Amino acid sequence: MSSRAKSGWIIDSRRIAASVRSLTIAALIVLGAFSGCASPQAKVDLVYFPPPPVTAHAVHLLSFNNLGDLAPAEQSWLSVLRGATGGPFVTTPAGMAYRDDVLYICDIGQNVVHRWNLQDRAGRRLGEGQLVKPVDVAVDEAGVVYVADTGLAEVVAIGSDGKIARRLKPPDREGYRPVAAAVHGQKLCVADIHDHRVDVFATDDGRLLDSFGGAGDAPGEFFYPVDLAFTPDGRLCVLEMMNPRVQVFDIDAGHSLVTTFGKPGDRYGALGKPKRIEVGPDGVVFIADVGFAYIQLFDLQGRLLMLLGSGGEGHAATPMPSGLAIAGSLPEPLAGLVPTDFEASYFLFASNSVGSERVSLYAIGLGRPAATTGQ
Amino acid sequence: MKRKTTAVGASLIFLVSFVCGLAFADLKGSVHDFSSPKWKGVDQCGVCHMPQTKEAVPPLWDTRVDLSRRFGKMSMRKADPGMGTLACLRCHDGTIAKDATGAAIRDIDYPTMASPLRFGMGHGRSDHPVGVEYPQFDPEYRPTTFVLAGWKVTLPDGKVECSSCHDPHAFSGEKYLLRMSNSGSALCLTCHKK
Repeated sequence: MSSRAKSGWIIDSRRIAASVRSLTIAALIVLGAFSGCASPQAKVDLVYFPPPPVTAHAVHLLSFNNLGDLAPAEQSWLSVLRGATGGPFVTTPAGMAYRDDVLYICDIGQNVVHRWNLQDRAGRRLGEGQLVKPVDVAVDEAGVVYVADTGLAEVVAIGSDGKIARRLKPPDREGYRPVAAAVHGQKLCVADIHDHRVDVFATDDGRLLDSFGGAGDAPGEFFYPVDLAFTPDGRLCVLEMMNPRVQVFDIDAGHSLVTTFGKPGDRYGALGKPKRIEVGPDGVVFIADVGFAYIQLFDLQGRLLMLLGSGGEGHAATPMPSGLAIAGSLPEPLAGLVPTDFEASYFLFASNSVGSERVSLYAIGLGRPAATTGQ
Repeated sequence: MKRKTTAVGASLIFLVSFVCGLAFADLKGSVHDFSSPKWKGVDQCGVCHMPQTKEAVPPLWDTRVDLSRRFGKMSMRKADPGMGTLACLRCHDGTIAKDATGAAIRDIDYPTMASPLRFGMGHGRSDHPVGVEYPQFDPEYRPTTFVLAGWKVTLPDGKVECSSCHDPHAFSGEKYLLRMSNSGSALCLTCHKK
C-alpha cells in the first residue's frame, strides 16, 4: 500500500513537473511573442557601411517582407501564434517610391502597387485587376501615382481615390515599353526601352512636352535606359543598362546634356548591370547594380563612394536589387531604429526581387566616432 | 619546355576559339542573337556577361577594400536561387526582357522573415520552381543519376535552376532555348515520371 502510495506520488509529481514545464514554456512563448511587440518585428540588423573601423556612411536598419513587420500595433493573437506578423506582403518587388510617409512598391508577382502608409500603418493595393506588369512607380505632389506597366504598354495615372484617372503613352509609338517613371514638379519623365527614348509629360493634362534620345551610344542617345531620377536641383539622370552609364540632362533647357559618367566593368569604379538609380538630397547617386549584386554609391562627378549591401549572402543581402526609394524622414517607430552612434540625414529603401530580404531600410548619414567600434 | 608551353597555349586558344565559334554559330538567329540590327552592334557577350576591367578605383569612403576583387559570379555564389537563375533574372524580370518571375500567389505561403518566400518561376500561369533542391528521393521524380545521364538537363549544385532546362547559348537549336526537344514531353519526363 505504501509502495503504491509512493508510486502514485511519484507518478503525480512527474505529471506536475510536466505540467509546470508546459506552463513555463507556454509563458515563455507568450512573453517572447509580446516582448517583441514594442518594436518592429522584422529582423533588425545594424550593419554599418563601410564596416568598422572606417567611418560609417550608412546603416542597414532592418529588412521586411510585409507591412505587419513594421506595424506591431496591428498584430493579432493568430499572427503571433503562426509566427507571422500579418498585413499585406510583397512578393516580387520592382520599382518603388516614397512620399509623405507612404511607401509605394510595385509588385510584379501580384500585379499591384502596394501603398503602405508607415504613419498609420495601413496598406492598400492599387491597380488590383487592372495592372499587368507594374515595374516602376512615381508620385506627384498632388498624390497622383504614375505606374509604368510593361504589360499594358502604357503609364497609368491612379488618383487618390484609387481609380485610374489617365493613361499616358506617346502617340504613334509602336512597341512602347515604359520601364521607369520619375516626377519633378509638373513634369513626368518616362523611359521607353523599346525606342530607347525618354518622354516628358505634363502632370496636369498628360500632354507630351518633350521626347529625346534614340538608340545609340553617342552623347544624348540611349541604349536600354532602365531608370530615371532627379538630382536635388531638378536635373534628370538617365541610367542605361546595356551601355552602362549615367547621363544627366537639364530638361528645363531643351534637355541639354550636363554631364556623363560610368563605364562597364567588373571591378571597383565600374558599372556591371545597373538597373535602378536614385539621388539623395545631398547629391549622392545610388545605383542598384544587378551585375555586382550591390548598391553602388557615386557622387555626381562619377566618383565611386562605396558599396551598400552584401551581394547574395549574409545580412543586408542584395542578390537582385530591383528598386530604390529615398525618404527624407520616417515616422516612429522606424526613425527610432537609428543607433545613437549614427547621425541619419535621410533614409533609403531598397528592394530585392529574390532572396529572403525583399525590402531593406538603410539610414544614410555619418557615423559618430563611437560607430567605429561597431555594434 | 618553351615548346611545350607554346603547344599548350595554342591548344587552349584553339579550344576557346572552337567553343566560342560554336556558341556564336548556335546563337545566330536565336532569341539570344544579339548581333541583330536591333542591338546596334553591342558587344554580344557583354549583354549577359560583364566585361573584365584591368583597373580598379578605390571607393572614396572605403579605401581599405580589396582592389583585386571582381564582381559578378563570385559575389553571388551562395545566393538562392543560384547563378544559373540570377544571371537570367537580370533581364528577365519584365523590364528588359520577358518576365520570368510570375510567381503564382497560390504557391507562396505567408511570407515572414523566418520562412522566406520561395521563388516561383513563371511560364505564363503554370509556374515551375527554381532555386530548389531536386527532389531525388521523391517517388514521382526520377533519380538524379538518370536525369544527368543524358547530358542535357543540368542540376547545378543539386538544384533546379533556369539553366536546368534552358541553355542561354542555344547549343541545341531548340525553341525557347530548351536544352533538348520537348517533343512528347521528353524534356519534362527527364525529371518527372508522369
